[in-house]
Amino acid sequence: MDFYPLIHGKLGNSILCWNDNKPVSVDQFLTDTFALSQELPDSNWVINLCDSRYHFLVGFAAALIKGKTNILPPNKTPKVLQTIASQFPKTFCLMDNESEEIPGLPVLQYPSEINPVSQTLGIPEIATSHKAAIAFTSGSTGTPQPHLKSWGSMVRIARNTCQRLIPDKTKEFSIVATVPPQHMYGLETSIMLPLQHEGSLHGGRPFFPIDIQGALESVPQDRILVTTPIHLKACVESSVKFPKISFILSATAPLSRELAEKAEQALDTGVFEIYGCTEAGTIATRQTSKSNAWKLLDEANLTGENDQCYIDAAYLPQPIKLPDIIKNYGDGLFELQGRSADLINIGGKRTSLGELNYYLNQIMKVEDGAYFVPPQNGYEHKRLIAFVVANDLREEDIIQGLRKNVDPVFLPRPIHFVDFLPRTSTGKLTRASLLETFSKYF
Amino acid sequence: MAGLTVFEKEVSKLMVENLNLTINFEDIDPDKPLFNDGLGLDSIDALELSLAISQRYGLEIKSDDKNIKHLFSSLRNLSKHIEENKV
Repeated sequence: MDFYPLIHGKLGNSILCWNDNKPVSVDQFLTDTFALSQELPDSNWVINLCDSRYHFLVGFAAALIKGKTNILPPNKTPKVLQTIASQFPKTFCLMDNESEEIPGLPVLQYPSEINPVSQTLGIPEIATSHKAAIAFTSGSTGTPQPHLKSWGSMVRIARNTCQRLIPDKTKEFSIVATVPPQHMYGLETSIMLPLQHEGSLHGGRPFFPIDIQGALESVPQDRILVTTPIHLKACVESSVKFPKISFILSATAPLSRELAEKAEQALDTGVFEIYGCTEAGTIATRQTSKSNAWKLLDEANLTGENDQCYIDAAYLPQPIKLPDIIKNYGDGLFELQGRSADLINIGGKRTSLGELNYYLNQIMKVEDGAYFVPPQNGYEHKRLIAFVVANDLREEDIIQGLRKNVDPVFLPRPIHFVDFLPRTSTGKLTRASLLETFSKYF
Repeated sequence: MAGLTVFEKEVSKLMVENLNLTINFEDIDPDKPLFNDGLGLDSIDALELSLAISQRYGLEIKSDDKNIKHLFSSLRNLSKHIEENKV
């Protein structure tokens, strides 16, 4: 059996995390991890919902050393968590926020006391074949589809990403991230990169521009900011003065060249984008202001053309079909020409039009309904809108109905009540026909 | 419903305009929650709203403010916070 260490190339007394402005050494982290691992219930599955990135990291590692699998739910809505839990026996949630409850699921609270380091602990080795995590894509019937991540694949992707973005191994780096570690992109960048490339991470999850500034200032150089176009726009437009950032990573939604250029100028840094998907993880990178083309990670191969493209790598169990329309230049270079599937990603949360439409049409008295992604204008974030056929319902009723199943960022605004949807004779609804309906209102 | 003060109307208008809300700014209940079950705002709105507030009033919203929940709990509380802390 092959193994990769939990932490690569760091000494016990070196700093792994900056938590609440206090440094946490590798030894302290291992002490916390072993202590928590003793508390974990007898189950193969852990839904790690910790808000603190450091708590998430300890929970993630504790599960790994106990041979358990980390479940990464697509969002925190009770229905989604219950649906996932029903697929994995004896699942429990690890949480660090006592005010939150998950109806119907057992919860282990992250321990509040700090364990003193009593001895130097060896760095655990984890089998490459271990099922480290399960991420989900949304299905069109409301049941999330699981995707297994082996420890080996996660380590390979982390090392390949570092080789691309931080080729100088002697450089120490600190990662500050606005994206949740429960998201595949957040896990790969803010947890796996520091573990596997001698970096450190900021233990929190800054949200507002001034939080991001504070987090960046609390960690040493070289600073890397991992974020999304929505947060990047907020940083660019805010009057907050940021400390020196080595580079910024953006993912989860397409970053416009305009915003990338503005951010590079305003923050005096480089902005790199990551292309990936839940099924395959990080696939390629680019510096958005300089290149439309994406460069594959070193171990990845791209085959096919247009909407029939597959990504393959030694660390993937099988080739994975990409959900995008792709112009494949060969030599590891390609361009995206649009999404072929109906995936939606907002602020690091993901769903599909199919899933949203499913829930919309489940609402009592909704005769017909369709979500619509309005055309983008510049880099402004546009909310999803919905067209609904329903005689007796008000906007509030629809929102109430959706709220049980749908993350708030996907709630439509506005909702337009229409007499009918422009369906074809076979009942199909095309984006072109909805665009026509849309143009009547805006 | 209690009426809006002049300043609450100003903040309400800023909010409705920046977040493209469909409600009339004078119709927002000043005591109703802004998020979730109330006006239905979400985390992205919070970010947009914080930008608009910083641009208009020179006040940066922080999430480790002890009273962040209280701050966004209603138009009345948000307006009060801005009025007391604006530059």
